[in-house]
Amino acid sequence: MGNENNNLKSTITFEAETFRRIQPEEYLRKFIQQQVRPDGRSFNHFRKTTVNLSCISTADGSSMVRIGNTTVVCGIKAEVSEPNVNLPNEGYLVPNVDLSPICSPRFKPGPPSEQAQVLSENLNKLLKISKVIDLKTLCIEEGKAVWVLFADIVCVNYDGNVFDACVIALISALMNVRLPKAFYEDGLVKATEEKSITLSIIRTPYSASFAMFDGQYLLVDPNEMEESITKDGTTVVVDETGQLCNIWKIGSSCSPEQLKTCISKARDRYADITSIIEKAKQAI
Amino acid sequence: MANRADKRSFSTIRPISISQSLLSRDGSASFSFGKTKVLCSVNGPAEVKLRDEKLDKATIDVVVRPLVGTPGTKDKTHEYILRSAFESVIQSGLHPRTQIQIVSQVMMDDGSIIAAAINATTMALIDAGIPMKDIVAAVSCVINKEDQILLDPTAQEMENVKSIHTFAFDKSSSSLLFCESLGLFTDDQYFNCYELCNVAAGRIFEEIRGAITNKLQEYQGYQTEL
Repeated sequence: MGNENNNLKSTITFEAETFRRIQPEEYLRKFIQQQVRPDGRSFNHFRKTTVNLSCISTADGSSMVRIGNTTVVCGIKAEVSEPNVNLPNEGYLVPNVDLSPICSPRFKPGPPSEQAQVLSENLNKLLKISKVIDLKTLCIEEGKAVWVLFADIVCVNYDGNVFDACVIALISALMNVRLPKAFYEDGLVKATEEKSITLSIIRTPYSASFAMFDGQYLLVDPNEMEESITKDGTTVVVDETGQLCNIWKIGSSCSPEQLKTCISKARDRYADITSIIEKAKQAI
Repeated sequence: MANRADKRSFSTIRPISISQSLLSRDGSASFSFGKTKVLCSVNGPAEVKLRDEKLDKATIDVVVRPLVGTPGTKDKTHEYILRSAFESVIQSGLHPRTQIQIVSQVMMDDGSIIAAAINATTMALIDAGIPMKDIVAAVSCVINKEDQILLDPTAQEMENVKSIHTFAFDKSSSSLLFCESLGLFTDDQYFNCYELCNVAAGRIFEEIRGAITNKLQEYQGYQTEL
């Protein structure tokens, strides 16, 4: 006791939790210098990822994805609509991400936050430009009726790296979609009771996200705390052939070598996600 | 070589024009690549709303206005891109508890709009005299169906392509600040685009330098006349 009191006179000491709250960046740096992250992971360690398919019985396709504590649920609802006049034989796939106040205190109720809009837009671009599904297969009758797939992704628990979770949830839910057989007769669309038709998915891209700390430490699968401190994010999306689908990088500068490392790690991660989804498919 | 619709070679950017101090704001500039034009205004450091106040640095607020209609998710994404790119170069620590507002208005959209918006913002920030660690320049390119890389694509060239890339670089180390690549591409194609855009960004920095020199010379001429 006496010894400790002597120390207190010269330096101020805090509980680790207090230190984290008042100097979050310095707190993280202390861990990084010891080659470990505050949650005990090494730099290259992804959090435990689980996928549950068909978890919403009322949806036409659904999945729940957990990456560590980050949890997102994706439900896909199919509706019939008229096609766009310019694209009479193409259906629609509309992704929407909802970051409600339930997942983190940083989100307020009301219109979608900027982050939710950015996530939705990036998912939409990924689906569109990388051609994940052939929209022509969603056509029921050219110029008259097409399927519209509303993919609603709700974040239940926000603990960083939501984009990866959203991509996995969306792609696995698309694989899970079963549509009824639909016919167009005299201005009406009739559908069978039985839902059996699967979507023809051309490509199954999965993403891997990274945070860069102090411009040199690459942290894979950042959690909420790491994400908010570093602000430098890189996301790499690859498909089953190893081809790149999307690279998104924001924040301060990074070198081509660091990008190459991210790309190769994203390919390693791809294999892991594929095996997780295969297991989930067998579990239904 | 020149088989692009506007007779450019594959690795040529469209004519750039820059003008500064167009509005009676703290700083403003317009930047155009051919027919793509963005007008940007910067206000600040000014008073900040209590809710957005940061104790140790300035709050950077970005507003992107589209040419027609109300802002949608695309414009929100552009706001996010601009803010994240400039947060890392503006020395916001020098002006704590203030707001720096950046408003970017699309005037004409003929492709490469994000790149034009980033360049316009750089110019407007310089015009406003906001302290920055570095300046930023951005360029887009596309890879078409024939695997050719087209630098600074027009809206027409951005349709039916294999992939679209936008890169933003800083000047001092010419390293990557922002990148958005979409579509399907290989590592080699990606890094080829990276190199090509990095070189093109160098040309934009020269244009920026030229524009500032011109403006200062005009100003000095005006001072001596007085």
